[in-house]
Amino acid sequence: MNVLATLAAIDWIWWSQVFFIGYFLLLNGGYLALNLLSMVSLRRYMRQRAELGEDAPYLGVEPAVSVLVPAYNEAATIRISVLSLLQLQYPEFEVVVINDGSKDETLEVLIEAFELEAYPEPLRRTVPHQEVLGVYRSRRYANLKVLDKANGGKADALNAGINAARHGLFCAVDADSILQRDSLLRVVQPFLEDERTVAAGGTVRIANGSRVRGGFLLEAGIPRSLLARFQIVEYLRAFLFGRLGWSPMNAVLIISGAFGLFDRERVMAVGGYSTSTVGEDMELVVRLHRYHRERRLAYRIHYLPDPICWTEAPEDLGTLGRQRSRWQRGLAESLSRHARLATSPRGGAPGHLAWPFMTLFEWLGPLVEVGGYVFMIVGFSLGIIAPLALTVFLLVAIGMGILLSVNGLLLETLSFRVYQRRRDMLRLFLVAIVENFGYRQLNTLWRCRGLWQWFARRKHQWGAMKRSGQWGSE
Amino acid sequence: MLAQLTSLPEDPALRLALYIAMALALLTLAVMAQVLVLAELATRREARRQAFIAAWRPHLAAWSMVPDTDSLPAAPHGRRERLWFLLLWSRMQRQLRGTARERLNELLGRLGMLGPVLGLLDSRAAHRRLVALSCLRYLGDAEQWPAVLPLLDSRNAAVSLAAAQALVAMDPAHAMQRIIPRVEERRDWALPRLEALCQQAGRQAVSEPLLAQLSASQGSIGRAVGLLAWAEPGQAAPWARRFLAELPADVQALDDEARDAALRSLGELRDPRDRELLMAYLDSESPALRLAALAALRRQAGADDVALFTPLLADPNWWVRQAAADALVALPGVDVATLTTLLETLADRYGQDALRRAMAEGGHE
Repeated sequence: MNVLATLAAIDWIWWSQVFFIGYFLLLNGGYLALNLLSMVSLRRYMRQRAELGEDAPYLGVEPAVSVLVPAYNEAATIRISVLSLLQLQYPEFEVVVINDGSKDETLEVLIEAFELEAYPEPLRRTVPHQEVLGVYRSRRYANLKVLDKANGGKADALNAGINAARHGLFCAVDADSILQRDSLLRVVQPFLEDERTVAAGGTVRIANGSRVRGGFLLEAGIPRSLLARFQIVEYLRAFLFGRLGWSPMNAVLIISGAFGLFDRERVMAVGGYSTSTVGEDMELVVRLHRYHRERRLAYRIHYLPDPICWTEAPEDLGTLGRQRSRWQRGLAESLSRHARLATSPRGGAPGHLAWPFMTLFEWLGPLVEVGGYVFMIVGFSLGIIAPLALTVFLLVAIGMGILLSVNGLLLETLSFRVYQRRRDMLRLFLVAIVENFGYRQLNTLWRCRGLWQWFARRKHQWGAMKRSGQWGSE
Repeated sequence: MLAQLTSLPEDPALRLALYIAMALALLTLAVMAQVLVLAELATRREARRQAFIAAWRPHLAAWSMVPDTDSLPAAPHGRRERLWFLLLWSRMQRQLRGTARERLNELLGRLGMLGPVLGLLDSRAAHRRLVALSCLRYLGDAEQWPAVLPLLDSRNAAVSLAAAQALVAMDPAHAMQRIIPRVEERRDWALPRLEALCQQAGRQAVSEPLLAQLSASQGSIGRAVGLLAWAEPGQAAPWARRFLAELPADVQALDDEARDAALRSLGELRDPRDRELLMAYLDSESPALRLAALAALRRQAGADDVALFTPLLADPNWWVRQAAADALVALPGVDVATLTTLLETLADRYGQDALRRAMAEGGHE
């Protein structure tokens, strides 16, 4: 009875307000701090880039790289993707395409386009994966190899690729990634500069609206689709300060699955990609942190602000919603699985700073945001929250959102200036404002759906993506 | 309601929140203005740079083919233009070789740009010093050695490595004598960068200082041993033999990396006298050393060595098995029939897989 009386005596409304406002302050304070850190490290990086020259230096002693391309139902684009990979500027590399039991003609397209022939390649089973049905090599390109395997998902395909790779570094690339000719040369730089490097990733940008020929980006542009424009601003925010800020602290927890370079031996030592998560890219990076920290091994995971990989963003709500749900689920799986990184005394910056930050603001953020909206609407309906208070709070919340997005654009202007036309920049300003009215809330709902899927442990599958196929046309 | 919204709220917390909202709006507008101004300035600067490059590039290209003093414009004025010119000059030098490069060097002197280049060496901005060092590297003029040498000890790794490159271009042998003794203490000089320097300097310039450094090292061999592959194999061999003979092959030592480098160096030499020493390392506990020994033996193997490599097809390490199969397939005088017979007699399934793969790759199917 005493407990009930105590609970009844608490001013729930007041405490809820304190909770939501406190969370809001923490969230935005955290992002602003990350923003400042990014600005400092971007400034340092751009100065170094100016010192070393804008072209990626070619030393002639770059380590050989195996480029792994997992493919599932990619018949429409796989030929152009592989051709562009084969034209990368790099002294020594092989391309390993892993056909993960595609239901379309992906394998047939590859066999015909690259004159593949069956080949008795013995595969090690260092990391586990589904059965490999055949290994093919190209009669036209000595550095092209194709594995045909039973369907097991992207992580499983990458594991097969790791086992089949012949070089010490491997680069995981999405089959629909659009690269620059010097992408490999750029991403390998951290491995040349710092012998402790075990992984490096770069900035992924939106390719919609850009001119692409033969799988390479010719000129960046702004897409017509408003949904794709929203994603441009989102990607600038996510990569230019969401990840760059963590890099100087060696606390980057995500290297995008679209393009990342890894030390193969280290990845094998941690057991390869996990097939029981949809966020295999993030899970691997968090596991690498944990592995090295628990064993007190010197290591570095680098993030490069250079735009080295471009990707086609979904332009319909269904595909985008599924993608965001999957990402949120992957994030929840990776963070929950490695909670010990945060509790271990050896957790360092990744465990004691990045993990709590991601958990508080990225993993649980959508739930708190939805809770906040419900609280405001219900409070307003019941007359508990005054219209003026509601208006002011919304003004601050939206103002903060716009400021963070505009700061992303500032970082872009201070660095690579991919969007050089003033008209493009004004359009992006407009997008930074408009996204706060509807798109951001929709995103929150998709992320909540992802959390539900994580909680209900739904079966994993390849993320289906509607492709425009325009990359192959020019 | 409207009056309530247009006047400041009485509640201090709400009033504060409103001030914050207004501050955010102002800050956002300020950042937007900053973005537009910075973008505009960058665009204008870029346009001026492009115009300058478009004006100078044809002159540089023409001069690299035929020097023509009459058609040469006046030397660039102002700090920024001089920097643009030097960057363009360096970029063109990177694409040229031989006499064309020498002509561009001559042009730099005629335009009186050597003074500004040396002036940039004293600049506080690292990127200006780097531009100067890049120019001095292409000039390769040993007279500038005293100006560059102090920068070898710069705390900025990029500057010190650029100084090293410039010194190597001026006098490879003397430069390596200065660079190699610093390898141990300059941990910020990554090994691939040092390898590139050795490549630039040539084996003759590397061998003497490197072997002196290795011979002088007490206890564990330092990171300089990673450069052994860039030394003259004939000169490196005595050190490599001595080092490998001192430590028995079956002892797991801290110097595996050094032994690996020594084995590779002996492999380069292809001296049959090293065969026994190399064979001893085929039984090493370290797969990396077995692999290095196998690679070294492969370089001097003959048709009789089928029996030497065949047991390695059953090695527990995947890479050793594949390398053994590659070695067998590449043996001089070994034909498809011999390999097919060998494949049929192999008991080890993994060895069979490796040999089958190597035969397919070597066209022995």
